[in-house]
Amino acid sequence: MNPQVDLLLAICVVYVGLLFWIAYAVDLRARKGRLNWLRSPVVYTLSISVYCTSWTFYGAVGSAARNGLEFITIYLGPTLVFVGWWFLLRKLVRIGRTQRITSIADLISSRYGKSPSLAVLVTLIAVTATTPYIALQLQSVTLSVQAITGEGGAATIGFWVAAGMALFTILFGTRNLDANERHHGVVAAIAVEAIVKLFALIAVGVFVVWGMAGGIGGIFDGVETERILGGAEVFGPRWAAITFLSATAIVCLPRQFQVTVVENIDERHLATASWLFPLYLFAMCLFTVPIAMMGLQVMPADANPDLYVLTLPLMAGREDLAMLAFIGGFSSATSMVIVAAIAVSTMVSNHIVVPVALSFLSPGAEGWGDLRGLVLVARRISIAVILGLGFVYFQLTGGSDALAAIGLIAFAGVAQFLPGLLGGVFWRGATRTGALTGLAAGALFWTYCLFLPSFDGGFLLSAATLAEGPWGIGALRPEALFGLTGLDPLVHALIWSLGVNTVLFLTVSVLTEAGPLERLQSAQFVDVFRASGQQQTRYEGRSANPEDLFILAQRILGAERAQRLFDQIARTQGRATGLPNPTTPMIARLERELAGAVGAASAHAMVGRIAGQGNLSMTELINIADETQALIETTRQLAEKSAELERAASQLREANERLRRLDSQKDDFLSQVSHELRTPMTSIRSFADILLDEDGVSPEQRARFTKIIHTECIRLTGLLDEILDLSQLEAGRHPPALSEIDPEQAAREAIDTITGLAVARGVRIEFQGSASGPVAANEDRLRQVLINLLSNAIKYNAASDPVIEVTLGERAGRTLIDISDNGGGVTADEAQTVFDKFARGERADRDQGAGLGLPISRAIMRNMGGDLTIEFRPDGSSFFRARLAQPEPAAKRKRA
Amino acid sequence: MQDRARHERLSRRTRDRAAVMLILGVLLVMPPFVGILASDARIGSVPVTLLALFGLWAALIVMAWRLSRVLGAAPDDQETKQ
Repeated sequence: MNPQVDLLLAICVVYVGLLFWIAYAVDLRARKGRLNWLRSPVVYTLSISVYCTSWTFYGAVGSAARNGLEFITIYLGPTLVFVGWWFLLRKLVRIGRTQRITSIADLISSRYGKSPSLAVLVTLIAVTATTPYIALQLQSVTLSVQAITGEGGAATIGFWVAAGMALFTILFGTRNLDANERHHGVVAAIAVEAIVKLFALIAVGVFVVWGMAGGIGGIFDGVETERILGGAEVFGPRWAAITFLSATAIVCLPRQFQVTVVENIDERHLATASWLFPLYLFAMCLFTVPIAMMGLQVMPADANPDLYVLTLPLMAGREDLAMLAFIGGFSSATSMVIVAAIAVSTMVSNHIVVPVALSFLSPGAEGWGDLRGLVLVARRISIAVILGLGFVYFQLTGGSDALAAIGLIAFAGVAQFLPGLLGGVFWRGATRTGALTGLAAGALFWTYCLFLPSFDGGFLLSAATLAEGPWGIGALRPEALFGLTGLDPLVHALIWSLGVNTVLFLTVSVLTEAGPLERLQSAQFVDVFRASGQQQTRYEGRSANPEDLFILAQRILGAERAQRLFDQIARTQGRATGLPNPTTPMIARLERELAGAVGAASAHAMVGRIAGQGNLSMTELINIADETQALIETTRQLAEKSAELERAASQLREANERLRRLDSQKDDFLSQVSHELRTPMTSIRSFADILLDEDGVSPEQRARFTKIIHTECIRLTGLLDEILDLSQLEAGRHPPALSEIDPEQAAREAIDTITGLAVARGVRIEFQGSASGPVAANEDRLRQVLINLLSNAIKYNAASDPVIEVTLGERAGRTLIDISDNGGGVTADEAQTVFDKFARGERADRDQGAGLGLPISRAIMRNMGGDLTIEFRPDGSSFFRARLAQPEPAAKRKRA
Repeated sequence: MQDRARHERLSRRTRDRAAVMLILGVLLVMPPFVGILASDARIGSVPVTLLALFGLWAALIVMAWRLSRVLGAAPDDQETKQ
């Protein structure tokens, strides 16, 4: 074997070993929490320079030699994006951190309601677009090996390079399944590689300019300006298209997204990167034109301009410099392959393998086995497959294309993410269907117009189809679709793919409606600087078994981290020991942590399986909420009915109580009536018995006894009349007919009627006061009441100079007739019972009535809309007060 | 309070400057304006177009560097507190 080959192999192995050692050491430090200088924004910026692949290292010079200044566009686009970091990158990084985004597929799917289909589509496009890019690295390494050793079949070298890189990447990138998919070791190794490639390129540049050409003048003097600039057309549509594409690529390329967003550990690092990264690009490009011009001048015409960086030192006999250049190119290629393969394999495992595995596994954590192992194996296989695809692409395209052309195909492929990404981050109206439609259509046009034609008829589309269109239909020619001719193939493909993509994305978004989870996510993404990032999917936590959740976390995060996480959550819940309660915030937090390892959609599905019944979508949650609402309503109605029943029962109880009281009153009344009737009846019967015994009764006695019987009968009749009257009044069966009467006249007439009795007893009756108008009353009944009150006052007045005062007055729309006497009135105790039937005042004796006068009087007053009460003065004396209703102003109330 | 208002006004101005710089940058490196740079002239032996393009690029980097010192000072302080 050629000793050169041995040397190259040895250099490569030593170099890779060094990188691996760096990565290992840094990972070790990171695990101990000693990140220190790793937290530097410079390391972050250097890791972003993974953008500069071997395409930059070798291809930029080739491009400058072929197309003049056009190569700068590849670096101007990213410069603009980083200069304007405040507007897009900062937002992406913030979203990436708050939502624990693991890849660009994760970001897009997460934004559109954690859509698995969108994640799969983005992943497929990423794989397809990454394939030519990896082929590009294989090709450049193969070419550089061939250039140095001067031998070797491209296929053999390419295969071994691919296999070596696959092994390298697997060793590097999938040793652990880290939180948030951060790979501190890889980032450090990439940063070292960034320095190596920059140093190598500048070293070659300095040697070419001052070692070979003898200064700047020696480079440019012998070349026409036209040749240096790339012709008059250089600042044309292709310039704009490539600048735009490269600006898009720095955001959308899976590996760039990985280093810029996923691996970012501090948002402020972006501020440094905003100028340091463009500066890095600037430095990488500084010697591109001089090297290209030197190559054009001194190299044979058939020499590959892509290899000038390597062949110029070789030609000058500086093999050491050529070796440095080789290492620089090798660095560029390996860093790109490692990061791209890690990024894409993460997508494949998170968005394709895990969901497929989930759908085959039974619900519940027990049946899932070690998902961690599955994810890691899936990633390792994905890496191998991706590199294999790259190798196949490299073989099919023959490895003869200019490097730049292949790179641009990849750029145009990932540019399809742009509408969905920008729309998702800045426009709340963007919907999943819109993003899916746009992306699918864009990818289709990209494949047809750019990707497949890149095989030059070697794959799917034949050379004839490319030239004349499928089945000879000219309008369908891949590079002049629907008659759009006269354009550069790249510009043509870009217009069609991105144009259709954007139009469909916007149109379909406007026409469709976002689902509930989508709306939630859109708010979290668009307003990421306002939202706290805490709000997440809600589950009905109570249905989740904390043990299942713990097992799931162990499977994904590893036993130690899961334990730590659960302990932490339990502590925040105030539990000293045991598993935390599966509350909604706890489940949301767990989902975020898992999303950091397997992506939002998969984490959502996994947690959903345990926390809810299967995949609990937001729609289902809302349905559940609706059902709950309905249930609450029903319960409320039931409670209302129950309260109503309770009220009815209580009313019934009251009525029953009243009835019982009335029944007892009736019994009392009957017994009193019997008693009242029995006394005169006994008297009548005993006198009647005496009269029947004619012998022992003298005629005088007979006349006296007959008189007594007569008197008792009259009393009995009066009593019965009163009882009848009272019962009728209380039943309200025959209410007295009311008319407008003058209360003063009624009072005076009553006083006149009773005057005879008053004079006989020596009682003086005084009348005072007046009324403003008539009252509504029955004249006879009112007089009956007043006479009853006056006669009581006369009969029960024990004062030495008895005086009765009748006062007429008005208060609160009522006419009042107060009857008081100086005989002391009734006491407060008597007032309680004085209106009861058969109740008599202390001063009454048996002959003075049956005790129905006051109850009857009150019943009469109440029947006339008034009342009869006993009132007490402050000095304790009492008087009777008859309240009388005033007639209704409109219609005179006539009660029949 | 005044310091805070002043700080917010300054950071708003800085953000506006960043936006203007970005717009200017995009306009200048994109056709048709970038076509103005096309020229056969040389300074020394280096084509003016090449110098102008790299000069423009360097100017963007310098401006970004100056702005980043203000904008990067407290990224949390800007939009979140509005």
